[in-house]
Amino acid sequence: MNQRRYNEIKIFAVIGALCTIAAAVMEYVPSSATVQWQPYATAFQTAARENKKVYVDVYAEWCGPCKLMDRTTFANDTVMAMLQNDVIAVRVNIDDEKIGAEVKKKFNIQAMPTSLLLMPDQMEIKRNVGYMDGTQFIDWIADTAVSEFSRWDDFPGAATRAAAEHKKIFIVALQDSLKVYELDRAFRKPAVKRLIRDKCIPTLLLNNNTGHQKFIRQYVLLPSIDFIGYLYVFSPAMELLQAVPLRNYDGLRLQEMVQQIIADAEKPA
Amino acid sequence: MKTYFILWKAEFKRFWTIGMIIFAMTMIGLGLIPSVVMMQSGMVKKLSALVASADQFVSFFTFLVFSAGIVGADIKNGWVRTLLIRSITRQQYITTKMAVVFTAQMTVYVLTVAIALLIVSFDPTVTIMFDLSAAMVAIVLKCAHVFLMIVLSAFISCGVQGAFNSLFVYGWMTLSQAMDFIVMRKYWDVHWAVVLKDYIFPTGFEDAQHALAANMAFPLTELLWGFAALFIFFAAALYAMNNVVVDTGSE
Repeated sequence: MNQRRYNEIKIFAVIGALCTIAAAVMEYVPSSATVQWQPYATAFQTAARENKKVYVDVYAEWCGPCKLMDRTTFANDTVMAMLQNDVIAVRVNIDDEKIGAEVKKKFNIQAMPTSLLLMPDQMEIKRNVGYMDGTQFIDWIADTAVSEFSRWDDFPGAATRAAAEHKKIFIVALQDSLKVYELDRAFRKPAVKRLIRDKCIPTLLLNNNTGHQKFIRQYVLLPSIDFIGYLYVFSPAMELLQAVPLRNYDGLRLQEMVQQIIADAEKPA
Repeated sequence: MKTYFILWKAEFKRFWTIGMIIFAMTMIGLGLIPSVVMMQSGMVKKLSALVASADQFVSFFTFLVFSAGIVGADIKNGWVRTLLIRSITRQQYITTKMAVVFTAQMTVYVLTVAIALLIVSFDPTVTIMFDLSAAMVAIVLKCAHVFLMIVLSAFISCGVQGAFNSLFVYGWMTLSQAMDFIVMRKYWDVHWAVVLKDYIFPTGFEDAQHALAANMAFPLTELLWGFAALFIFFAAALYAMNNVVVDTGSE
């Protein structure tokens, strides 16, 4: 009787042990992801040349969620296509004595996995700490790397086009690139986009962009650090029609502001 | 099988004391509030999301009370001795005991979901999508997690007196969460600490449920960890029960 009891216990214990072994093996199955990761050393030069953002995946061999991202997120076809086409994708092992240590210190990495989205000049746009599934990852990248502002004309081109099409020039002048991504969602609202594009040629000037600084000095006020930036409307002949400082940037308020500034610019002087 | 059923009926009647019924009804009431609010506010729009989150605020508390002294109390008050001298085996006793607590826990859970659905059915502003297959998967994983917790509690109860098994499980779980909190904030780059923290408390089925809810790939690894813990602790509970010293004379 006792022997039968112990045999049953042994069966359960063996099944449990087999499941443990299988789970442990699964945990350490090598990644089958086929994302073409670029070398960190040249990624920023490539990004500057191709006018793309840099996506940095900071991972570790011993990090469970990193391995899960390999098996799920980075194996997703859309994610792979995005990392291939829309950004320069770089992967950094935190245990790497040279690059890992440099990235950890430079970007103050505090947990794994950390996803960083950087400008070609290594300025951080945003970060995510922890696991992201395919859908979350696509939203996270698309939110910024493919922003509304990237569809706007560059400044001298916008002025030329405004003159040719007899439209006004709508300038968003911001302190730095980080604000661009904070404002992007608001500017992507269809109502805001329609308002701007119907009457104006929109363009973006950044105070921290050396190429933009000369235009800021020439045409608009240098944005005060009290504000995140300014909205301007110019005539095609580059006469200042309206200027509004930006303090907060929730979608609804911005829509009202854009509506107001364009309506005011329409009024005769 | 007949012995199991008779024993289950007897244990079921013993379990549902007036105090337990009042406690269960209170838990159903408390579980209903967040479930209904989440559906009305649009945070929960699918049946699968409702069944995954229905009793999340009360389930652990319900588990602690329902499984308190699951075996230890019966050893202390002589009930185990009474059963064992009536040709009931130790295995039959502990399996039935776990089944009774499981039934009780699932009763509270099912009633919470059913009443929540009934309440929101009177609210024309709430629309719930009945994704039955996803809901079934969520229920199965929920059952598996609840059963694993009960097995764990029964195993501990064989070795400690009275309701201390619940305190032990609570302490174990709290330790796991504390470790997770500390490691992720302070020692996130210490290899062994990060690996260890994931295995302090068995949550395979729960992790699998979360993975499916978040549209991740099929959580095979999590399920394997869940089954590994379930079988090992079940074997451990049977072994511990076989080694409990009960003076039965002619067992």
